[in-house]
Amino acid sequence: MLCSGLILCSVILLIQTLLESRKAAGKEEPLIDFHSPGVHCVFLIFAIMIAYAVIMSLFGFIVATLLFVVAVMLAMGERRPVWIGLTTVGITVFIYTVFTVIMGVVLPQGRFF
Amino acid sequence: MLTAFSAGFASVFTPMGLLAILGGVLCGIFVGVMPGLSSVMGMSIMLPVALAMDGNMGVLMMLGIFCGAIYGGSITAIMINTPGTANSAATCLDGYPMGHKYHQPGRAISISTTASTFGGLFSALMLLWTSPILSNFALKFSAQESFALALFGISIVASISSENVLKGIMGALIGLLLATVGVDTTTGAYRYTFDTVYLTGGISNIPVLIGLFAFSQGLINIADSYGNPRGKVTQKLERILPTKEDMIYCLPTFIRSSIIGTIIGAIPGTGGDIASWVGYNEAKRWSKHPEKFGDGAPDGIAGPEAANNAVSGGALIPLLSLSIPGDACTAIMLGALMMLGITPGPLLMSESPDKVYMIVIGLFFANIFMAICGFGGLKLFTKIASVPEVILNPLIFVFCFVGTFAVNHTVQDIYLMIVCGILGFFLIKMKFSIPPIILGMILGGILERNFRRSLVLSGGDWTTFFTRPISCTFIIIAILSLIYPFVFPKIKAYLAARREEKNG
Repeated sequence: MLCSGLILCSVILLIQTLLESRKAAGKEEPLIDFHSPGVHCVFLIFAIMIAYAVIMSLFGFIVATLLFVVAVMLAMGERRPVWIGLTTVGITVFIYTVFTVIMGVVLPQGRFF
Repeated sequence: MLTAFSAGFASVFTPMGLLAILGGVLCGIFVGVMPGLSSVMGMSIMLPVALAMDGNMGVLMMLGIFCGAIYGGSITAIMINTPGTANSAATCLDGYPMGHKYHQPGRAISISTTASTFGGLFSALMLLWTSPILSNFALKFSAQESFALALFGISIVASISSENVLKGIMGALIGLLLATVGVDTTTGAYRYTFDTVYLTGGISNIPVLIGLFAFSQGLINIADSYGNPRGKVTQKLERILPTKEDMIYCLPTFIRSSIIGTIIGAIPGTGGDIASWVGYNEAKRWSKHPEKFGDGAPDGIAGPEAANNAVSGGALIPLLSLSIPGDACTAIMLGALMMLGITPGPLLMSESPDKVYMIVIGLFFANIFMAICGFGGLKLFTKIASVPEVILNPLIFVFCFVGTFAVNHTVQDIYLMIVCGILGFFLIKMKFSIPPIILGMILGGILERNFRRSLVLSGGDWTTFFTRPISCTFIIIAILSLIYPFVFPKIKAYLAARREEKNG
């Protein structure tokens, strides 16, 4: 029943959009601009996420996070090595302190570590 | 009642309790100050930390974040003309001119701090006063009424929170669908589990919450801020404590906006952003110098700030007495309370009143700490706003990963969170709003349980929802709130056409 409701709403929304787009053809800006550099950056980050999930299951949390932070900062256009290094280490130490030392969470272990 | 009150006070007034509130307030202000980190995001990121604490401490910390985040947004609104959270958008109008045109950012922030504290304390007082009354009234509720109330909550949020009602309804339906996954509690049937062990227990709320609110917001921040970094705070603060004249001048605005904020907060579906705009407009309407608004009027800062902080107490009224969350923040609050073993609702007041008083007193202390932190740590907070995105966003992502993992200790939760985050990115970009999804998901269980229970009670007679006056009223309001946005423009057009016919 919920599914059918969702489908019904989508159909109505589709019709509504079609009617409106006929009225104001080509005037509106698209909701997601697939050609903007920001969105490209986000797609790059999607790919990094998947890599992160794979690396974490293989090598464990700490290694994966170190690599992840470097990758995200590079993707966001940061190129100064000192900044990247400090942030990476800083974030990992911060997370480790908060979650493992204070809260006692055992972070995900990898298959090789 | 007095013993319960003192028991509640005792559980707040311990070193750990006060520390939890203080920590929460500091986190909240930090989240509020950073543009791009909303109060909802802060609450969902910190939820795993709160769950790891001892029950009461976690609740107190969430309260602290809730209050602090609403206040923190005003600092950035005044300093760099970018509201730290949506709640403070109205504060920009007068706060920024006062800070930059007249070079009095300290005065502006001192007014906003006082107004926030006043609004918060006022609404906590209202919560203390009204929730026993509402709970008493709600004790008469049976399964039918609970079903109607949950339906009412979802439909109001669905109809208000999104520009297009259809998108709101679709969000609520997505949430309800997510809530159906897992073993059916009544019959034991497996629903949408696809023969996996992971889905048997249902989709847990936290990965979805963190993914949709925090993770997707991080992605959006990256997409929007790519190549254009945020403005930096360059102003120096000249004073921190408010002057007596300002306080006396703004006092009527404080009181008016606090009342407005509390009432708006108590209405499901509305939140701090609406309250602050209404507070601003009313302050302008009643002011002796309406021409000064938009050009650094002190009551133009006090109005929205008192109103949006008064929402915190107002929103807790229906949450504690009826277990209906009014907006996304209180929906997370509801999730946190349930996971910490406190089930809000009419029975809470009669079964464990000490918990209710603990929350109310915790809210009082959260506001007091907010004032102390605001006046004491202001210089630090203005510096925080200059932390670059490049450092902030990876930190958010990693926090999301670990936070999700920390709750259930399963790696699958992280995968689910990533998927929700990516979906959330597209949903937000396509102007769907997230609160209906979360409300649908959290209230879905309550909705279904009470629907079945009332059908069992009535022996399968579905008219039972309409023969009881209270449930009938709520269902009718719920249906009206969904139909109204479709019908209202048509009625308006029809009336306008008729008027024209008469005139011409």
